[in-house]
Amino acid sequence: MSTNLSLVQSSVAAGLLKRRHYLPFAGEIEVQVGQDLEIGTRWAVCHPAGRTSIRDIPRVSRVSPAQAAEAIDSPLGDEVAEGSRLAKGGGFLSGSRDWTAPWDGRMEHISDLSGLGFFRESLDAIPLYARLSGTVVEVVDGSHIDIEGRATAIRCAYGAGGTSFGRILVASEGSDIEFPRDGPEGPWIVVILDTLTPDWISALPLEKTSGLIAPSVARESIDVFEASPDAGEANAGAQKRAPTVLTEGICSSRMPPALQKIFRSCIEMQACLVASSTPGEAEVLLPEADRSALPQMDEAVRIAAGPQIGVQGSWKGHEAPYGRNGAGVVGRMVDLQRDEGGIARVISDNLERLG
Amino acid sequence: MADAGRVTIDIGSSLIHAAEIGPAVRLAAFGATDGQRRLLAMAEAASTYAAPHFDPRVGFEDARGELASKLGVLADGEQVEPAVITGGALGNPIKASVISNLHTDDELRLTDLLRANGFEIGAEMHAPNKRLIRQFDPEEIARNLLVAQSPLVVIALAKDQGWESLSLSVDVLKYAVEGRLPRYSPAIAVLHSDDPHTGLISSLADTFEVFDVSIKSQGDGVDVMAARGEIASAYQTLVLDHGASRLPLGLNVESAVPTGAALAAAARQIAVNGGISVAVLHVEPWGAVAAYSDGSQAFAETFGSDRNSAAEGHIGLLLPIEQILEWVPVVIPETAARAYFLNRAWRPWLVPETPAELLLDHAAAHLALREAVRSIGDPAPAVDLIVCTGRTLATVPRLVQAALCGINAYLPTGYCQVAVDKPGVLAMSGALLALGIEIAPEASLVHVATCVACDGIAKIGSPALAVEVKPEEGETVSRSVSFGSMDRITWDSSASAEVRAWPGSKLDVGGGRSRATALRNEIRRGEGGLIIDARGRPIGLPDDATRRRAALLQWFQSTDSYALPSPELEWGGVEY
Repeated sequence: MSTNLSLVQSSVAAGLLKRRHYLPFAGEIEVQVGQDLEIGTRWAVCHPAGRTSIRDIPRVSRVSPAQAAEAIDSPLGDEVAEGSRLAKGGGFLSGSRDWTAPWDGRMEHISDLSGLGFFRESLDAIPLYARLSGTVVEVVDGSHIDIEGRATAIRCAYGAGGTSFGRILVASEGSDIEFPRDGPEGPWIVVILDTLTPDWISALPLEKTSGLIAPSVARESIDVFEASPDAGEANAGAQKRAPTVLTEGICSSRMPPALQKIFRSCIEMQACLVASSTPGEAEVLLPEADRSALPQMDEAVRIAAGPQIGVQGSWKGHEAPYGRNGAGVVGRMVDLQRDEGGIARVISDNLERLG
Repeated sequence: MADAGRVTIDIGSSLIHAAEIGPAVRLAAFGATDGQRRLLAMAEAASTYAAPHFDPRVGFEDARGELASKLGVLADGEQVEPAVITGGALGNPIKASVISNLHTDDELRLTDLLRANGFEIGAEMHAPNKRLIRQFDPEEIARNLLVAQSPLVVIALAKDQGWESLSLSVDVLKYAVEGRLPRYSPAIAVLHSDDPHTGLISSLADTFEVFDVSIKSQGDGVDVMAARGEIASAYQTLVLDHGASRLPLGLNVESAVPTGAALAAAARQIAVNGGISVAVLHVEPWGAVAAYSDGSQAFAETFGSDRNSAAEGHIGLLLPIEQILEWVPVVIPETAARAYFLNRAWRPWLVPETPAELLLDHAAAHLALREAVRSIGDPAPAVDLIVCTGRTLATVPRLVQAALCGINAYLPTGYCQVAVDKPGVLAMSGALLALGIEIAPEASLVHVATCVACDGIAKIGSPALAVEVKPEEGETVSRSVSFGSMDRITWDSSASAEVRAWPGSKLDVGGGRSRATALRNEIRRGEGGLIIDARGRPIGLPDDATRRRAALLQWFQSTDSYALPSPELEWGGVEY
């Protein structure tokens, strides 16, 4: 009885991949179709808008809406420093207070219909970088570009902290993290093979670390992701310091050997960590892995649910008769040869391919 | 209900396909059988719109291949092209924020119109018959819009002297909202009863997609319903924009139908076909939808379905954890339950692996459905048939578990039938019905149980409900159930049976307080038989944890829905 493998989710994709890169804010795209980009190359710059202070100028300065523009101290569009007066308070006895700039910014708009003034905070432009090496295959001005290139993508369960770039460093087991003294410079995306603990997080030197990849965090330690370093807490949140992803989830699982092998094959190579908290978007993008580093398709799978979450095994035969799992759910039951020994019978819905 | 008899398939008729994009990609083929169009085959594959593929075609092609192989000669070499797409991945419903100075009655019509067209209300800033500036600080308007992040902002204005309120709304959107949040640039619907200020509308259109609609009535008033076409069109535009990254490119889709609208259409058709009132309860990890129809009207309410962050990715994270755990008769630490729901938010396609996980899923499912049902009405309107569907309820190990979830969520009183949409295709059938394609949605339903439930409150343990089931063949079964308990009666599955019930003095099973009732029609047994619910309405869970667990165990064991150990056992089962 063969099993429909299309129902088994993949955690790893290798080969020709395409990634859409959106402009999060209005901005300028700096690349063209056909251009080759390396991972981490700037492709656009965008201009996020800052906070806006809005005032009813006729009320502040005791003028009519049509006169509001004349009551303003600085011309539209001119940069104004924080604390500068924007409009003089008017009135004689019950005079209103001056309107002062709450931040560095500029007067953006004054309405001659409502008399409202809009003062906007100035923010620095943000450069945007390519997440994978490849060729630009589509450019849509004001919206996005698509880059297509050969790479390996590993889907992650959890992400927090945003996107970062760095070279892969696999931390040795049972010892402190040792950053290379020779060879390429960092920053480093540190790969930890065991469950992430608050001690690991505190030990990370921020100046050298651009991201953190771990298999899991114990449920008792979820709070480390919510603690804030500003609050002076001892084990401040990992994602406040470096973008962090978990490959397995909230459990006490080690990283499956297949994923360890892929990361080890990319040591010192440039990678991109997309630590997005939106479910389904967190991933690690690596240079295309050596074929020998990738497990055979259909064989290496991980258990993704239940007490054995994170356990890797191989699924050599495709015999999968219908049966019930521990919860009683009916489905195809797979006898998995566990890497650590023994057989685990698992419903195929709860397996993920690692090849 | 599914007919066990022989079915004749009309091979010559063309097939119609529908797709559902959710935690998995599902494709269904409907063909003419015995003169009615009904489900022929269904295929499912892993959704691949997210990491590591970010390419929905992969999963779609897998499902397409599987469907073609299941259809065999019936496919006749035709390519599977869905006529309609539905499912949670499309973003259902879509939030709409409203800025308005309409009269309160018109404002209500407007929000009803939005809800009827697949929107839910995000921020609502309403200054009835006033200048907006009198009621709202412009910075507050901006703040509310940014917090809600609604893909649609509706500006509805009447008697806007000097376009002051329109100017305020336009300026706030352009200078305080646009560019503040990553990739947030809402579409704007401007509904106006006066002639609009063309300069303001065109300046708005420079930055946003704008739907400009006159709601001027023939007299001097406002006709909100004049915006019906534009609101529907805005939904279609937004739902396709929102779901674009999740839909296979090049898919020839005539229309996308939100899950709520699809289920409401299915409920209406079942109600019309059977001459009954119907509630359809749909749950998947992302959200719950309750649809109701009595044949003349049909509507749906939603709970959840926002997936902007992991914290919103599972219904179990949208409800208070302690409330969910109150409905689980075993001891599970709050941290373990939260970890479980977080892991499920990241992998919504998984199924429960242990009994404890199953209990958590079902507790969250019925509480999420309860929230959606409450929006329909509290108490909910009387119903003859409850249909359970969606990934969570269609994959239950025992169908009676889905029935119990449905009963706990809808809290029916009197008699009602419970069915499960076992193949889980009701949303797709409804989406086709919403497009005007005739389908027999009841063909996918499996009758599970009949429920007789009493309304009212009595003393716990007091006699509440005496029930008699008289099968066509075999002996009459009588049962007396005390208040606060449940029970069930089963009989020969091939025989239909008559049912009578005598409620206690303060209780009502549809005939009035303490008045006996008998079902006019005979009932079939189904997997669950006759479920007797003497818990009263509303259901009172004991405050004491031990008594509460004992009550839950009694309900679960008496209905044979879950096999559970004693409540005294510290029984985790969630090993995170």
